[in-house]
Amino acid sequence: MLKLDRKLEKLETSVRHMGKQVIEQHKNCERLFEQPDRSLARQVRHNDEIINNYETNINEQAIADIVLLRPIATDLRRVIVAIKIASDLERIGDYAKSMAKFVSKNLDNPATMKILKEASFIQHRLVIMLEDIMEAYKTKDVTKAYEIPTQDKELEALLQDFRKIVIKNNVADLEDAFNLSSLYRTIGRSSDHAVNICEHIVYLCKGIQYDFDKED
Amino acid sequence: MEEIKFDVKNLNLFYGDFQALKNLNIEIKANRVTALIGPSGCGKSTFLRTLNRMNDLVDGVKTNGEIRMDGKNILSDKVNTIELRTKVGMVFQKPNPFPMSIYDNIAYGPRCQGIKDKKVLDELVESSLKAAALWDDVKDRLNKNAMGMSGGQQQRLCIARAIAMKPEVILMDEPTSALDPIATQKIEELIDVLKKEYTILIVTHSMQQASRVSDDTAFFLLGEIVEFDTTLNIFSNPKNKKTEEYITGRFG
Repeated sequence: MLKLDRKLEKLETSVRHMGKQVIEQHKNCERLFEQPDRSLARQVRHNDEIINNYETNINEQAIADIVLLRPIATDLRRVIVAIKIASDLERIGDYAKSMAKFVSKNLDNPATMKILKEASFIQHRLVIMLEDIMEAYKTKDVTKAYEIPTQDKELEALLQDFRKIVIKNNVADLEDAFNLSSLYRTIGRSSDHAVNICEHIVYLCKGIQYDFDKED
Repeated sequence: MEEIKFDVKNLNLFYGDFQALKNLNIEIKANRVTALIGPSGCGKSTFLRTLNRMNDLVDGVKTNGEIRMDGKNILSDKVNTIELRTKVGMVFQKPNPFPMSIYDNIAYGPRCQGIKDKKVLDELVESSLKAAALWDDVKDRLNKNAMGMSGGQQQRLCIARAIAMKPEVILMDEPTSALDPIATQKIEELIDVLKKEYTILIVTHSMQQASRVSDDTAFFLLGEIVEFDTTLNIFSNPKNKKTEEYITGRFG
């Protein structure tokens, strides 16, 4: 095995570990939606630092690989894509942190927590989607990378329905409704970044820049 | 549309029974740098030498097919190879200045062509050395022996010597493999400037060099052209697995 192959394998392993951490964060958010828990919420907020460190470390590895080993063709794409996926994962991690913050703030607000619980299945969909994506990255499965973004569309539709329910049923006061709405947006934004990762996987496998947004 | 300098069709070349080039088809564009890459013995230098009929000098060489330079088949028996080689100059792997003064190195070719006028020769020497980015280094010692120059300067002198013949094409066979990184960089910069006026083909074993200096790249393997495309495409997303293996150092 070439030194370059070993280094790129190591770099991609770091990205996969980072992905695992991010997924764990979102799984914990799902748990928080189901069952509010002050200490778990604190832990999720705290763990965001670990994810940020992963990104820094991946960028450093990538720069060293470029400078010392001068990758080209597929090798270069592997490095570029590692940087890009790490960047999207970092953002997706940030959203887990804001979800945990939201839960911490609203622990004593039963009306909000009730709606949150009803929304936990949407968060579950996000977790599944992230798991599928990291699996597609691991196996460099371009077919899967093309398919996964339909999950984002379904998730977006579910979020739309939920926003309407919150507003129409007047289940919460205006401020709560507003806060809940922005919380749903964090789920939606996480899913958007997940779609970006699918684009990176397509680029990795095929060398073409693909934009899923332009499909609509 | 870009002008085609060489249009190669079904080119085959044999050294005795050994077929060194197999049915090559390639269009080399004018005023671009084309890199020829591939493992040793793949035919890239042989191909380079067909473009100014240098292979004629090797015993037992047989060539068939067509190489059209500006539309005219240069493989035809009627072609004056001396004339062809003034149009298609060459720079070799090891700098090979003549054992004479810097001035005489440049003036040698033009003198052979019958140019005697001192003023014309002076101007030609100056403009050629300037074009090869060597003038400032040597203008005060034009009468010194060229063998006393550094390797990098000698190689630029060889480029200047080729330029003095007012060629249309410059062939370079691993022109920097004997040079240090600074001299290499100077030659690479020079290639970039020269392509405005000349069509340049360069054989190189350095992938970095191919990607830095060339506009198009042809990958040769066992006497065939496996892939020919823009250098950007070859080095970012090659179509052929063999090309990718070679340029990334996983070949064989």
